[in-house]
Amino acid sequence: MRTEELIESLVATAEPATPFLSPVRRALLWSVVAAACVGLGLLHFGVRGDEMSSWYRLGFTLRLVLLVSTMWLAVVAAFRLSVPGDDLRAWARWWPLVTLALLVLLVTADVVIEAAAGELGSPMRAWRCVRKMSYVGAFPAVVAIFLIQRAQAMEPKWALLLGVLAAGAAGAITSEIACPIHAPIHVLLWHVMPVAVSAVLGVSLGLLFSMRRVSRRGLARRAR
Amino acid sequence: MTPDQERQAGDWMSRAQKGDQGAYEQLLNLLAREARGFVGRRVGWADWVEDVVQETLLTVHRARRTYDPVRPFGPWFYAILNSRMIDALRSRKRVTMREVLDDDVLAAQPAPDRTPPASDVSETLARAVAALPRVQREVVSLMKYEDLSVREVAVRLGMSEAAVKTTAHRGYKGLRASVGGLLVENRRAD
Repeated sequence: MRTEELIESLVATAEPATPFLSPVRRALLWSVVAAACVGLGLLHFGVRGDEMSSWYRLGFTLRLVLLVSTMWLAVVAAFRLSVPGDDLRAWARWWPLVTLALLVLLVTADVVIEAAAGELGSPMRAWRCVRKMSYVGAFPAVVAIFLIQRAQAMEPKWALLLGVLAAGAAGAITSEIACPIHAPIHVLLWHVMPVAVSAVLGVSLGLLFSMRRVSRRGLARRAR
Repeated sequence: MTPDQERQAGDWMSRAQKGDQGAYEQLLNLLAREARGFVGRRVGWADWVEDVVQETLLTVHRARRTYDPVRPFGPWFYAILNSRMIDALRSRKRVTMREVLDDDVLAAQPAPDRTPPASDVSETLARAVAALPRVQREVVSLMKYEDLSVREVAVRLGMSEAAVKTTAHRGYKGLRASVGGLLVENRRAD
């Protein structure tokens, strides 16, 4: 197909298209959905018995602050990356990974301190925490993926990594508030690591989508 | 694209978003011309330039809801164009590598000319530019291919002039390392 013909066909099929909201506004709306899911999750799973006193413990509060920061920074960066030309600030995509790394460092330091004191405890299996996180994070993840795919991310791997990471962080917030186990090794393995795993899942999805897009483009080119 | 054209394109796009097909047709024609020039300046004449132009127009069509009329049109459009050009360069590189690997007969062929064709040099350089980190790539492309001044690049990318200079310096250093390496390899092969 010649370019002039392509232009004619694009013009003929063009319908009015309302512009999307800005990435920050979309991130705000997504955060409202995520907060509602966290709230519903807490209603369903219940809140840990020592919730009120936990807020006075620096470690717990810091962990929650870092999780909320990871969630917010990741979702804003994901939606920015899904708009062409809105992603020039290269460092913006790294901030959520920095906060996640800080979270891992903080909890690892706790684990080391406990281990030095001989109170490490056993890293027992706690799939229940992962399940809580998955139930709560699933819907925000689907919404984030849908919104990223509807826009036109030039780097889908990064956009989906950050979108799914934000959903994982929302799920981990629920685990933190609902889970009664305080042991740092448990927090590291069953609350924090699954957030990192969610980022890996996001990258895999991004790879899948970009491979599909490339093969679809190849088919379309051959058809032209 | 000149600043006036950019403003005009932004205006056409916002009218196209409201359903004005005339404005949309003018916009796509302008973008096709711009894309052809942009890719041509980087890789010289190549038979796949028109493919990049068409891919870019298709992406602009699919992504038109992501354009925010209050923002400048240039960064939005060039991000799409750059991305489609890099995709094309990557897929061409894959095809070329496969062709070379599959073709053992190449070894028996006479040595090529010392001076590679101009389009090959441009393509190697374009590939090296495409491999730079994103911001360095934008800065180097705008300064060297579009002939924009440091101030114009700073305005277009929303950076300070000092940051543009530093980024350009790092970009040139990266290019020297990658393209210089290729030249040394070629000389050794000769």
